[in-house]
Amino acid sequence: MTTRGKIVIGLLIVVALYFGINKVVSSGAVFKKADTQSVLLNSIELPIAAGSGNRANIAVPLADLPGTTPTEKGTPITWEVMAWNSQMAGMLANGGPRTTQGSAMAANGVDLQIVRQDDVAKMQADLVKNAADLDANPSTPGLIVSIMGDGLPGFSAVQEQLKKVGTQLQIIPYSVGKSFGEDKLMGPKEWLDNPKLAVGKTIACYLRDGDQNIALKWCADNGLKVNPDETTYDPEAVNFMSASDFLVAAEKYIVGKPEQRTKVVNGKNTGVKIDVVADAVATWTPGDVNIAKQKGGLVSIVSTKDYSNQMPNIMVTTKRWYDAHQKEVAGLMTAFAVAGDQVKSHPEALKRAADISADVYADKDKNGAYWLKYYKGVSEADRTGEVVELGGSKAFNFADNLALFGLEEGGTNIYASVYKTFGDVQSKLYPKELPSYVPLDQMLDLSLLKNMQTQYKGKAVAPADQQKFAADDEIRRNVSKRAWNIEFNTGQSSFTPAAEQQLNQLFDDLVVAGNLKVAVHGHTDNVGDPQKNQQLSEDRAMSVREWLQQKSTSAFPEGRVQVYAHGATEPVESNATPTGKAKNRRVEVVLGN
Amino acid sequence: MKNLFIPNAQPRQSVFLTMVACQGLVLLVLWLLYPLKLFPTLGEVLTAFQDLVRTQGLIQELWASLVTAIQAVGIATVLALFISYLTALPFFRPLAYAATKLRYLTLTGLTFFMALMLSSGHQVKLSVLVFGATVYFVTGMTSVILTTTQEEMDHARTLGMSEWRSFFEVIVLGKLDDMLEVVRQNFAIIWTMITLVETLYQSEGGIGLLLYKQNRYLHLAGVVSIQLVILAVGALQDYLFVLLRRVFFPYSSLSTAR
Repeated sequence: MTTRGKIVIGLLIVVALYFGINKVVSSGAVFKKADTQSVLLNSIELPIAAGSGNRANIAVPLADLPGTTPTEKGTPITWEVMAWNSQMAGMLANGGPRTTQGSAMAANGVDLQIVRQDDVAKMQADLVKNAADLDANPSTPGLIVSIMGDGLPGFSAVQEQLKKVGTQLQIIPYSVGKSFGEDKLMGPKEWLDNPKLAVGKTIACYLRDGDQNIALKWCADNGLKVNPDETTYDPEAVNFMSASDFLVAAEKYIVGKPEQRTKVVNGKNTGVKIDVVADAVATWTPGDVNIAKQKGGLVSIVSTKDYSNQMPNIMVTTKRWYDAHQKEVAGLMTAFAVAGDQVKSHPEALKRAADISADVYADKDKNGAYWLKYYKGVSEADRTGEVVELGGSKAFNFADNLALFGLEEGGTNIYASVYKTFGDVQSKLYPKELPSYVPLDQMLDLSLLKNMQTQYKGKAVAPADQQKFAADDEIRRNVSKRAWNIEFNTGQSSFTPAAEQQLNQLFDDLVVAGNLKVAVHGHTDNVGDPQKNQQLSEDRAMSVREWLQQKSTSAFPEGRVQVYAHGATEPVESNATPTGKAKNRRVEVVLGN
Repeated sequence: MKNLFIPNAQPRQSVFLTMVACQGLVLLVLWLLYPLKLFPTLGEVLTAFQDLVRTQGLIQELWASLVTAIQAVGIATVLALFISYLTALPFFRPLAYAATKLRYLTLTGLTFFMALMLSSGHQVKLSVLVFGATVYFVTGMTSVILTTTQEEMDHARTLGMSEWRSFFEVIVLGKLDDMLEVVRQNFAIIWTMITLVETLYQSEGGIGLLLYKQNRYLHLAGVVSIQLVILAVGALQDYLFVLLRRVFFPYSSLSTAR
């Protein structure tokens, strides 16, 4: 055969193969990825708690600031952290990247080495390695890693690997602080007034973690469907564009280049290719700073300032080490508690903590002043002149921890709800990646915190941050608005049994959004006397408020929930049909500040 | 049998293949009987593989990545051949030299500039792959051209060919089989990079995205099974290149030792 003949035949074979395989692959002959349906998310049930927290209000005097020379005494422990401002109290407690003389950590017999680690996968690998090392040699320094509280269900995937080396995850029952504004969903300004405009739009973010959780919660609160599949586009849902980290997410919006996907309608793949760009971004500082400075045009739609309980800094270690070092863990917690009081009450202590942070995070271009500025949070004008809020974290003291883990009188274990809420959301959206997650009670044992609670009774502890809501304050800016079809017995303001489940979901949603005021709007259909309807709608909204306040006084202090009655004046559907009437008998819940 | 252990021996093909099969089998049996503590067992990997094929569209994703890879290799080969052949003219030599040195660049940060210059995610994906492959191809191809001996050139000239004609006969046609070998050796670069670019632009899916998701949740069995699939595809690819060489350049192995 001549070379020319070979070439011709070769080309024919290639063309036939390409089209043949293409046909086979895109037909139903081979297994296909299951089409993903877009989902309207709900949240979950919570433990019932009642009563009220009494907090002693005692000022803490300024203690001596820690020295700068390492002590090189005490039990060695390693603490891996991201560059995250919620760790201010931990920084001050340690006095430097390694425990210094005169620090609270040294006073409690711990020699702590703080190491920056931004990569979650690396943290997981280090935990497994540490567990294996501890198995071989029990005197190996223990490893603690800090992650976002709402990201722990995803992180708990490491449990399988830890079990192979004969141990499991264990949470340190103490949190040093939380994100308070720095994690946010940024979007076009019009979304603030009309969230429905986000339908058919795309949010860039690092998927399956805290940033996405903010966006997911906002969508759920506004009754918007979300499309979990990052390779398809659903015009009737909010879509996500996956980025490899939170800074890349911001970059996707700044660069603004389209990506190609397949269009999906009603969960059916249409095969049509469509270009999408990032219309909004969920990210955290400095991602938000980059957007404001390099492109602008997006405002903060909702942030961890609104969902103020979503992102506590949670520390995890291995059970093997935790069980063998109860005394050191207690020492660690005490040091954090002491430093937490200092950071919260004294600017000099906070400034010192920021300088130590700069040392630990070791970014040459970010000094202590930078970390301090974004710890407090700032408002700056972006490139287009829009004012954007950037940064914002909070340090915790001991009382804040009692509130977080629900150890005050009548308190709710807030962290337990956060963990379960976001664990369920992620595993509902991504059943393949996260088929299940470790139940919290297998990792969390509060006995050490309870011991401290009895020990501290009556001693000087600074008060926890309490949400202050002025009762006469109207909501000036809506964060979300959603109609809840809470069923009432006809003509009465008492709930039907089915309403209980709806109320529990509402309760969870509101607990996570701890910093927002709640307005409950009662509506009725047009059956009967307008005056009576007015009264009935008020009574119904009132019952919702009472139910919430009874369930948790700590989450619903006086003045947080306001009641509005509209009678039959604002129907959403025609009152001509029974279904329309049912739609109009509703309670709308508006969250805002 | 005994010439399996004699230096430079050429055992019969059937004997050799049986030996290879046995070696592979021993490896599998070892994996089955002595599972490592943190490494997934054979059973887990097979289960993960089944699940990936059945419900997560491994085959489609693999095909999508493969098409992208072949596209990129096609473009890179043409580009690299062009650059390498240009080195015949001294004026263009610095260009080829520069191209070979570009393989030391890391892609981190470069993708951002590419994104600014190009109009869509898909183009960035393709450009990154083409760039990565081209610089390696040029390196290999220029060194192939440099192995041209004085004798080969003089041979063409004594046949009365012009300088251009001798270049065409000796370097372009005469070295094509070696060029194919260069492409085969460096095709692997594409697979290394494809997983990287698919995590940068996840909208289009691909096997890289699948791998990324498995790794994100530490589904190590899934990770291993995808890696094995990539390995198998790579082996098949190499075999196809050998076949191509045999069909189109039947005399190119005349001088290899037997």
